[in-house]
Amino acid sequence: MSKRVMPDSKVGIAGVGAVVPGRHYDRTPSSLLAQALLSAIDASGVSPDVVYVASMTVEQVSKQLLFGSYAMAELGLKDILAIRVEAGDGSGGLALYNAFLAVKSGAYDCIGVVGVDKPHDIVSTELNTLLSALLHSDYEAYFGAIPTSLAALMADQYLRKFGYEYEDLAEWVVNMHSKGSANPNAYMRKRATVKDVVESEVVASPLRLYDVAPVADGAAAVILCNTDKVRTDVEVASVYSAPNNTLFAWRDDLTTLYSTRRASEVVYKMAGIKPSDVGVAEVHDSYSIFGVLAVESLGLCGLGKALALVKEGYFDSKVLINMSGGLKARGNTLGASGLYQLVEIYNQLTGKSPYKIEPRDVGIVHNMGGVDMVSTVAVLRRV
Amino acid sequence: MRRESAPKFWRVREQYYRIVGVKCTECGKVYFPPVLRCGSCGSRKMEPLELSNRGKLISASVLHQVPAPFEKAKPLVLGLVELENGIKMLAQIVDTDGEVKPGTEVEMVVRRVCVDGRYGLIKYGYKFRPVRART
Repeated sequence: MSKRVMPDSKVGIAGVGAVVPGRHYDRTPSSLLAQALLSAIDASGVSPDVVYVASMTVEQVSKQLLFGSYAMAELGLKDILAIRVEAGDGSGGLALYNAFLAVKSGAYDCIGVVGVDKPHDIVSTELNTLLSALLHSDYEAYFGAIPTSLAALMADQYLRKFGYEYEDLAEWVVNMHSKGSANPNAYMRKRATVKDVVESEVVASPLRLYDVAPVADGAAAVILCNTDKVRTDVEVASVYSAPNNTLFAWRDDLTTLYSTRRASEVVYKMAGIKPSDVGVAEVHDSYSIFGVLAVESLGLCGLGKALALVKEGYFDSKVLINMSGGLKARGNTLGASGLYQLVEIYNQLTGKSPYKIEPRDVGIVHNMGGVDMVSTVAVLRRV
Repeated sequence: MRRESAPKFWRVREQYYRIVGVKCTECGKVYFPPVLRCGSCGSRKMEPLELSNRGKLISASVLHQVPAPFEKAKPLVLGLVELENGIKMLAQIVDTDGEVKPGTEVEMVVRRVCVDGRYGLIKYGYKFRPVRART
C-alpha cells in the first residue's frame, strides 16, 4: 500500500485544561469532561470542529455507550461529533495521534481532544477486575493475572539482568514523590523515603505498594489546531502510535518496551531531533518499573542505566523526567493520562506550570496502553 | 459477581485442559494460545498441536492483591513457564509451599481456577506445579 499524499498542515496546541486528579465522588464523568474541555476551549479562544474522547473505563463504570455524544449534549454542543478512542490506559495518546493526523491531513482545523476516567465510581474490590481487562481475557486475566503481575515479572528480569537491588528501584519512587510534593495539583503530595518504599506491603513480588501509581478520577483536554488558522504557543512537531501486539509470554525481552521504542524512533525522525535534544518528558510510570523501562526505551539514557542515573539526579537536571510527579504522584487517571501528560508538557514549555521548572525548548510525552501493547510518543516544541 | 456465559469457557476447553496450540504447516512455528495467521511467515494454514506438559520456570511473582473472584485463593503465584518445546506461557504456579525459584522443573495439572458462587459456574484450567511435588 502506498501512502497517499496529504496536505502537510502544521499542528499546534492552542489551549489546555485539566481537572485536579482526585476522588470526585460528587461529580459525573461528563462533568469532569466538561470542565477540562471548556477550560481548554476558553484558554484557546476557539471552538473545536470535532471532539476526540479518550477513556479506559467510562462505558463499564457508567454503563453508558455513546458516552461522548451524551457529554456533547450536556455541553450544548449539538453539532459536534464525538469520536470515541480506546486503547486502555493508552487511550489519551491514541486519541492524540488520531487528532494530530486529522489536523495534519487538512480534514479539520481545530480539534478538542479530551480524556476522562472515574475509577473511584466503582467499588475498590472491583478495581483489580477492571484493571485485569487490560490483559488477555482468556489467557491472562482468566487465571487471575492483573497488570501488576506482569510488571512484577518485568521488574524481576530487569533487576536481575542489570544487577540492581530492589532498593535501587525504590529510588525512582522516591524521586517521583519528591517531584509530586512540589506540584499543588498532584494527587499524592507527600514525600517518601527509601525506607517507606521498602517497608510497604508487597503487592506482587518484588513490587510493593509504593511501586504502583494510585488511580484517580480526572479529565484533561487540549485544543489541537492548524497553526495557519489559529495562533498556538506550542508546536506539536510529531506524534506516532506504535503497536507491540505480542502476547506477554511470547516476548523475547521483558526489559524493553517494544511499542515505546518503535514510536519514539519514528517521532524523533519526523521531528528531526535526537533523544539528546529532549529537555523535558512525561513518561507513563503506572508502575515504577514502567517509568524505568520507558526512559530507556525512549533512548533518554542507556539500557540498564536508569536506576543508577535517577540516584545521581540525572532526571532532575540533564533531562527533566516527570516534573509533575508522573502517574505515580500526580495520579493514574487511566485513559486520561496521555492528555494530562500533554497538559503538563504544554505548561512546562510555556512557563505556566504551578511548580518550578527550568525552561526547555523540546518536550516529549510517552503514553502506553496495557503492558507494552501500544505506545504513543509526541514531540512538542515551544514556539 | 456477574453471571457469566458458559460457551466463552467451553469453547477453549482444549486449550485450558490439554494446552492445545497450533503449528504453522508452512514454516513450522508453534503458537499458544492458537493464532489464525502465522506472524512469522503469513500462512493461514495452522494445525492443532498438543504441547508438552513439562517445562521450567523462567520467573514468578506472588500476587497479594487479586481480582475479587480470586479472593479466597490468594496469594496467587503467577509465572512464566517455558515448555520443553520452547513455547512460553503465563500460568499459575501451585503447590509451591513458599518460594519458587527460576529454573524449577514444573509440570501441568488441571485445577479449579475460580467459582462463580452465585450461579455455580466452576472454571477450570491448566496450572503448573514443581515436579518435586508429585508423590
